[in-house]
Amino acid sequence: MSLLRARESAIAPASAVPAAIAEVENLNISFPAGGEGRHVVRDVSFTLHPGRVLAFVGESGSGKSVTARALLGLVGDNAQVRHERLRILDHDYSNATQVDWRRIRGAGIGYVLQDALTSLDPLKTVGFEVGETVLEHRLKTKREIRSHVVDILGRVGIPDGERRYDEYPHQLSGGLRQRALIAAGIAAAPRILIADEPTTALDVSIQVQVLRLLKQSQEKGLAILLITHDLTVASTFADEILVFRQGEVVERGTAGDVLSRPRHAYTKALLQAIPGQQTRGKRLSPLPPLDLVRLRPPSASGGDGGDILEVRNLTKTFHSSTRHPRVAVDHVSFSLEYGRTLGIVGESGSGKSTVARIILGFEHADSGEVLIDGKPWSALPETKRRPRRHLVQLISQDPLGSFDPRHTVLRLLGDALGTLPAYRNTAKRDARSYELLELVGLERLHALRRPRELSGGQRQRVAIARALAVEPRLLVADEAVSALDVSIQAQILDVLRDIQKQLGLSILFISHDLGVVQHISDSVVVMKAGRVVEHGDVNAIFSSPKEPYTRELLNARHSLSHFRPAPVDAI
Amino acid sequence: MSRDNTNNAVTNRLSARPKRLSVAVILSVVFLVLIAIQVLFPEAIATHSPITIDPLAALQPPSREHWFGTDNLGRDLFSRVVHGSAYSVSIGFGATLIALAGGIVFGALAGFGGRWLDQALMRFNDVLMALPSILLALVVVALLGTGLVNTLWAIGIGLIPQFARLVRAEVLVVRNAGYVESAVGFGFSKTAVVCRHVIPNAIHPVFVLATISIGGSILAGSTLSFLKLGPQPPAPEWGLLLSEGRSVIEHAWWLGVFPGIAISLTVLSVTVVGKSLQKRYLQKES
Repeated sequence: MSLLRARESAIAPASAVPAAIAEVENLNISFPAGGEGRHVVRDVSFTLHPGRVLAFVGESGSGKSVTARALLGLVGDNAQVRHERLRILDHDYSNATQVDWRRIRGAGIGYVLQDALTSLDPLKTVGFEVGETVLEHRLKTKREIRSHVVDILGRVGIPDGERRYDEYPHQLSGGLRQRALIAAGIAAAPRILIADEPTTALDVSIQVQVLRLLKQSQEKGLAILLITHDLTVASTFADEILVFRQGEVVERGTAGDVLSRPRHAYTKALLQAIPGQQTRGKRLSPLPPLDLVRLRPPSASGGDGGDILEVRNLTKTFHSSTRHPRVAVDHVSFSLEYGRTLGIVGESGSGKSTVARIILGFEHADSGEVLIDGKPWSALPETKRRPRRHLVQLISQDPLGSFDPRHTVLRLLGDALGTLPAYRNTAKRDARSYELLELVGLERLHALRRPRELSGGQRQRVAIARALAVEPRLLVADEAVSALDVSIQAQILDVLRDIQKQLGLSILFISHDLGVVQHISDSVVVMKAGRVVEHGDVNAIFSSPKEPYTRELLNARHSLSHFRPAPVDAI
Repeated sequence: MSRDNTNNAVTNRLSARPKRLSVAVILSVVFLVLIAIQVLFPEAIATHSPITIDPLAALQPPSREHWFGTDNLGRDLFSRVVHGSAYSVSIGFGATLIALAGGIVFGALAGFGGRWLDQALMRFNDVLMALPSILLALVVVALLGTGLVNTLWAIGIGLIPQFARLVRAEVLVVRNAGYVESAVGFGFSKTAVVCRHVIPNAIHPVFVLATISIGGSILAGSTLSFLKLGPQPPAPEWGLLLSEGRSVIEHAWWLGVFPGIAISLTVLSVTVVGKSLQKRYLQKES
């Protein structure tokens, strides 16, 4: 539907588009600090119109957020901002003072920050937070504020606004918090709303709700500037898309055009990197496959059709002094064959990570057991399990946290290798570490860096190299690509697939992202509230789900992506 | 425009460097270097012997011959102050080392030993922290007796509770870090994980506390000596000098003033340097 609308607006004469309420021409932003000066935004121009959505799409560091902040005068004191034109709401802001900016922030332009968890003050009630802007701009008196805020809360779909008004952020769920943030953004009735990654880190069903809410505001005449790294979100929602790359706009056009007929190679690569049904069995990134055959341990035959992992009737309850005991895992059973990938999907709080922690031996199950390689695992005492721990390795969402910050990459790999009898010798360890780095696509110079000095993708490669160092049989990837940009995600997914194909490893792939799971898994387990809802072949489940919950999940995702990019020609 | 840019670049390069040392820190470091020289080569600086009695020269005011004057036994005060610095410095460092060692052991035990051990150790710690550490030191001296080494132990033990609490807090944070779990996942034993990852990562703020408590220890050492509970005469410990001068302070002001200045400046310098280290550490963290 929005495809149609977008096309229409593209075809319609320019007079159909309402007059611009914000115009930015040739915006340049640089940060002279840091030696030679970083030029983070180059010659960006755009306009905002009432009732229309403009989306900035790009990866982290592409300059999309800082461009949006220029509309609020929030770029930072150490930045140099140059532009040929900066008109907002019929005023020239080229030489605006702090007082001018303060007048427009909140009242003229609402700003919804990413991450509702940290953007709301934990010591202030929801009502205070939402009403603060209105009071600051003296749009309402203190006496009127309560009814006004309750009204706004109702409009953003927070039920029972009277009660929520006096509650604190921690009493709200993630979805409600994000709505409260949006309520705060629109409370002073701005004509422009900037939403910076408003749906990132939300479960898919809540994403849909939040986007629907933004859509309603847009239909009432609000001009929305949406910043997102997610092309699917941008495509369902935006009228016009600007694709950012390294501070420059590499492509612009209506949502339909950008997605179905991308012109720039970068946009094409981005679109191709989105995992899902159509990418199964294909490479997502343009990088060549890794050559890992050298790494194959001679003993790793294992393909005798048995199970590397068997989970039987696991149950785990968390007790807390302040709340009711919470059953995190409820009679969960599944198994994983040698050399296959099993995906576990579920929304936050479904118990998927707790299952992973029990499999990794970081958590004890109340009942049930885990078998690795057909032998007892979870039932073993720690001292007996320790010599076999190398068989199961974790690739986590946050590789940085899993590295000792004092150590170089070389030392990190060496420490892991030191657990194997064959690598007691330092020289051998170093040689092997360099070899591992090369195998996962890193260079020798990375060996002497500390993890902090590496990019997200490089860190995840180090994490993979370290896991492979100890010759595991099972990799547990817990949201391993969730924090990465789509092109880096594509590379890491390719690396994982190379590992699997060439080393015959089994992978337990846990993610809330259905597309990623569909891309990489052979079979899938759907979890909800600690239980396994559905379990089976990935194609069967994704094409004909039997359980209502699975269908619900898929529908939510579908409504996000009913604008699925058409197949793109190879680059 | 272009000149503006270059100017900016220059200032930015300067501000990118670690913050410039303040005058106070530089003066403190210079003073501490002087103290260090006194400790290592007291003979080279002292003008007289610190213990030679000369009744004819008793209670002389500061002069060219006796820079800080003489005490009631005719001993040269300047030489006694110079020789006394070794006592203060060894008490400062020694006591802090004892507190550091004790704090790491008890803090790590509490942080790792499970709930019961943690509760037992920390409640005992609370009791000790409720008492002023100088009082604790008095108890230890009462048990062990006086003398330099006993003073050192007395002050060191008095400081252990502070260190234990800080170490425990740091260990609790580091214990839950991803890399600790990751090391467990690679099959390292508990002891190996604690020694290789937990303690090295928890130790930084503890070192900062240590630099600051050196000053406190010097002051506490002088206090004990003043009460005649530290090193015994004729040792020229600074607190003892003050104490000896107290009875004749009305006739000989220099006996109180110079040792007092020595104590004050040393403690001040150590504290200034310690605080500056602390600031640097906090900056590095953020």
